Amino acid sequence: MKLLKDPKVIILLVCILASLLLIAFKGISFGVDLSGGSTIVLQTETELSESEMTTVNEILTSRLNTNGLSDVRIYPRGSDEVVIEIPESADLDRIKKILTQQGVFTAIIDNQTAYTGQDISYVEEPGTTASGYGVGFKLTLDGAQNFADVAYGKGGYPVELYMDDNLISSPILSADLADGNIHQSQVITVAGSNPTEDDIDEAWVIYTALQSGSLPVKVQIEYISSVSPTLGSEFIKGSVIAGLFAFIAVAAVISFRYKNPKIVLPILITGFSEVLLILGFASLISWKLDLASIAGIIAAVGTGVDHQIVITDETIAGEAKKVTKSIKRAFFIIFGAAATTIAAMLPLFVMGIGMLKGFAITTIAGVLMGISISRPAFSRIIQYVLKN
Amino acid sequence: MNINYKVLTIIPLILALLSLALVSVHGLKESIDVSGGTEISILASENTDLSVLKEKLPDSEVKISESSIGTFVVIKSGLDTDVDSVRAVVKEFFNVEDLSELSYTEKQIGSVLSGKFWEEGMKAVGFAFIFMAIVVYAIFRTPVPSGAVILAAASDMAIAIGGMSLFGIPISTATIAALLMLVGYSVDTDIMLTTRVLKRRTGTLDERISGAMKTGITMSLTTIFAMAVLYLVVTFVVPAADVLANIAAVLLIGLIGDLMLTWMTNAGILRYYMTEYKKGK
Repeated sequence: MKLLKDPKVIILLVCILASLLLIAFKGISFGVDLSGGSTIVLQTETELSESEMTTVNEILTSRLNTNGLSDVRIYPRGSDEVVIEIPESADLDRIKKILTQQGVFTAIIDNQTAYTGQDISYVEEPGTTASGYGVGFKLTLDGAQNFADVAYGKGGYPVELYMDDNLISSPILSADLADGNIHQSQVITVAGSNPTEDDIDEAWVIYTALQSGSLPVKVQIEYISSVSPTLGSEFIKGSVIAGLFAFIAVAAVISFRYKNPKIVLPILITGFSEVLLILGFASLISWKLDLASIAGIIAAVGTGVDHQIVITDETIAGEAKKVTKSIKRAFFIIFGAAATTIAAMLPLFVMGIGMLKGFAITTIAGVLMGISISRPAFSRIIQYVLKN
Repeated sequence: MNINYKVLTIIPLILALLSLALVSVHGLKESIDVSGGTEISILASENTDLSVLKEKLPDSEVKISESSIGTFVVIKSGLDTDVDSVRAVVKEFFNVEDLSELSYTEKQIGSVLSGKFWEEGMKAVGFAFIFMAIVVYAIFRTPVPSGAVILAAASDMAIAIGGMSLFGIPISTATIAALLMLVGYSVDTDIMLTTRVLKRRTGTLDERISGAMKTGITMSLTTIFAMAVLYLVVTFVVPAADVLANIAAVLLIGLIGDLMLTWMTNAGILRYYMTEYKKGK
């Protein structure tokens, strides 16, 4: 087989092999809309500097970790959006409160600040305390000193506890705490001994905010997309079935047009190899495939098959002597078409509107690998097949 | 024959103008990407009586569709509806403590992000179009043939958007993606046609155009059939993945429009360019 010695065919085969190895050993990971989990986008009130963005990231990560979510991915999008990906099912109601809480905590007695969130050295997980269900915590020495000074002689006054300017609790200051001595242990109670679901959520939100500190700005939730794992796997199954049937449809059209398995098979095999190349590339850069990426694969393979049809027809048309010129023209068309497709995807790649970055990346990668790897090889294969 | 091809050239352009008129009168259906709000889809087992759920959610739009793996319920609520109460009703109906116990998806979009949608979407489509036009001009470097390709692509987008308005396909991030894909697909056949006509030296003009047509129609048909299949499979197997179904539908409409625009309009302009315009110079 002379064909197997052609450098372009060898490059394609090597790339396919590399993709298969990558897929087999490194694997392909799916985005949260296919594997299950949630994507949340927070909008910050003002634009953030890079260091503020880092602080926000750290605080949000610690807040989610505190609530038992370990494998979260948090990254900024522009200077006023934060994207959070949680690849497991989680209680969205609570997470929403935890994330959007700015977490500025102040305790006020008789219009004087007794302590703030920064005076807290240690927070206990919510639970039942001597005075009811709530969160116990310890003040720093300085904080406790300040509290002792402010509270002195104010027994019977309410202690107004504010979280982000909302009054969350106002217990009455007992006389023991108003004796001017230092009392580091404190409790915020949210309910009696039988807390409701809402009370428990609230206690956890307070606990999380005290534990992680306050965000430099206010944030609000702008986008949530949550998919349960069972439905995610249905999506993957559906996409595979759809892809398979689409492939059969393409095979039917091509067979009807060329009626020659020697032409039809290389087109289909090369088309399929492009799917492998894109998946291999996704695995290489650890790109998480989401529904939009699947649409991108469809787009790339679709143009791939179109281009192979151009190559085939030009090869058939270029009678004996003029094959080289004909192939040149085919590649002129293909490069032109690929350049326009990439040009059309570029804004999306840069802007990342909505969740479409995956779509742009897979399309651009697919088109680039197509014109550099699989189509040159296909052109050699089809020339070889038609000569014999 | 002469008058014939000129008339054919204009027909798809009139269709594109009618599409724009339709969009301006009838408007486009908005997904929650545009309007903001919440969309919850649940895969329920087949013999669930969902009419009760419908009654309990008077402020939301409840859509039920059967598929081979069960019944999909899609609950759509606007920004002014309290999502927590919708969730509470759903939880109670399906008797679960948390929605993540169900086969479900939830998408929620706030007012800031949805407000930015038009601006960002228009920017993406606008720049895509400008970049494409620059590349097309760089390829052919002659104004009339390049202009014909760009005109065909623009009219094709108009027809696709008109089709979205006609068939109630909502404008969303997914359909914006489809429109961008369409730019790529529709220009492919136009570039092929123009290259064949301008660069091939063998055969008469008619032979070159009909040769290009044979190639181009095969190209379009493979994609049209693939998209039709994608649309049907998603609709009947996983209706909740309607992202893919919407993309397929927009491409289907656009590619059918592209068949007309490439082989009637673009071919017509090229014919005029080769036979009359060049001679006139």
